[in-house]
Amino acid sequence: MPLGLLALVAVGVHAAADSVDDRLRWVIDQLDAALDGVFADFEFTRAWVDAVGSVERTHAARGLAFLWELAVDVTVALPALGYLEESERAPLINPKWTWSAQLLRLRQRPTPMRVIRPVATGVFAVAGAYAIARMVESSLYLALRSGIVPDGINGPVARIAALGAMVLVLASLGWRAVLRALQHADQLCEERGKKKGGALTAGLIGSALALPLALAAAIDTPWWSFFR
Amino acid sequence: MFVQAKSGLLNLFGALLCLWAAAYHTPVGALLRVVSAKVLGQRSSARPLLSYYSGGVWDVQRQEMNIESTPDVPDPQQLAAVPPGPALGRALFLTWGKLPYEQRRPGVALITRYGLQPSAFEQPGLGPDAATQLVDRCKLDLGSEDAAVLAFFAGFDLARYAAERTTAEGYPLTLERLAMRLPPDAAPALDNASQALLLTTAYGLSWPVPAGTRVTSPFGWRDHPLLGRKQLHTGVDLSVPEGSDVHATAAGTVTRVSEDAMNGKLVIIDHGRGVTTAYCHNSAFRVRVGQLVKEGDVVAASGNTGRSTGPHVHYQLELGHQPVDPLLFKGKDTRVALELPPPHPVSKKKPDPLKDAFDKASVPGTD
Repeated sequence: MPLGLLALVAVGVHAAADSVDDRLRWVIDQLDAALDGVFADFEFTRAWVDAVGSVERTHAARGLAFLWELAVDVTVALPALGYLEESERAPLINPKWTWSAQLLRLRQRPTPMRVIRPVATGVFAVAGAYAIARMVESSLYLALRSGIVPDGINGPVARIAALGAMVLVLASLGWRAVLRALQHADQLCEERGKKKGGALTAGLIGSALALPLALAAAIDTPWWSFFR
Repeated sequence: MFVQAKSGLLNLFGALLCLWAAAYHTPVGALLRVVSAKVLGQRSSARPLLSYYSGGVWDVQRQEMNIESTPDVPDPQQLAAVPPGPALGRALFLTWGKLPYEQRRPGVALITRYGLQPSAFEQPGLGPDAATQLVDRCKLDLGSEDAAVLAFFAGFDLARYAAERTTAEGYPLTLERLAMRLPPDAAPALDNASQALLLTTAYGLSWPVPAGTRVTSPFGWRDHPLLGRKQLHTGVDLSVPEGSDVHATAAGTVTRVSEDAMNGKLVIIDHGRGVTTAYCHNSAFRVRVGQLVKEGDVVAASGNTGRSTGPHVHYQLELGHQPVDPLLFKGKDTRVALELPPPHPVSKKKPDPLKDAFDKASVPGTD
């Protein structure tokens, strides 16, 4: 189960990173244009102008997207490995750490991490489930084309199966990923909260990295397409 | 007990789906597949890490990691051998001609579907026109040129399915979007379609300056006139008077408007499908970043800015991020006069580097 959670969030994070690399490329193009203006003015840096071409800029954009994805994987997806079912957790921990106690603390003492991490994880889970459903749909469509079902039916069958896969993934893993994110955020905020202001700054970098990607995933996931 | 077991089984199935998708859909999964294939001594089907960010389009998807992600641009001899005709037809004719027999099946099925003769596609005189006719007809059924070209290489049914699902998502029917609806094993067909579309855009390019303009320095390795060392000249130098209009060679988006001491005033236009053009050494800009331009729009006034020996336009064409010779894609109506400066006479005297550099620098209209 924890591995499945990790994979689900990682697929969602990649779907988001895949949609931002073009925007990164644009930023790098503008940065390169500004730097070329400076480098070309000095003899010893002049060679650098030609050194960075279109290939390098594209690689840089995709490399940055990859690093961004890795960073969010580490900060948001990897903690999913610590997931335990309620029944497994009960003997290990005190009542302070039940789901309901955590939700209560989120309401009473909201911090950036307590708010952003579960929301971002939820968005990544939906984006991941959609990407998985799309893979199921196309693979099934191709497999069914070889005469298993009559032509004209294979499309709707593949779509229904994809929708089923999306619902299954969200119902079995999606909500668990969100709860685990809340649990991780809650634990970290409680630990850091012992110092003054610690809870507010806990996990801030990870949250700052995850938030734009989550936004990109939310914009670029047309999950309703299965109904059209 | 039974309900618990059933729910456990569904959870397991859900987790396995996630792991399968992560292995085939993410670069980290690809990395793990490569490592496990190496450990087991098998061949990995993973693409290069960074090609997981291109939608699998405009990059080669060769079946090995660590291969540089470069575009599959044919060599100049192949490009030059393509018979004249419509841009789309020439691109399809060239891509089709390189395919092994088994990869031609979807194309043959499509040709038959539209009542055309497969033999016409083999003949240089007929091939480009026949291919254009085929795609034009298929386009009416599938809704876009990209979908029709995909049908040629991946099969009509698969392309129609991808087009329907992409439409349902509310996205335009571009190859990048269609690719997202294809299963992982459609990668070779996607490769061929992306090459054909990239070449279609490239063959459709016009010329940035009037027909017959003198080429003062062609594309290729040369002794740099100012630096005095061998360097790849990544475009062609077109000799025009200062202040001449420089035209966009196809519709696109201006991605860069900048100035530096090397390229002078520079404009770069992204035409989509992995094709970009650059226009250097201008005296004034006529566009701004992000602006949409049409073919023939004036993007700059030519000049002599940056590292340049005289007024000229350095026109550069990149296909899939690789510079290629623009003269191979100079457009069917353009007459280009290739008039190079005479070679330096071979002298038996001891070479004088200072004098040589001065002589080279005095060739006007190059960079």
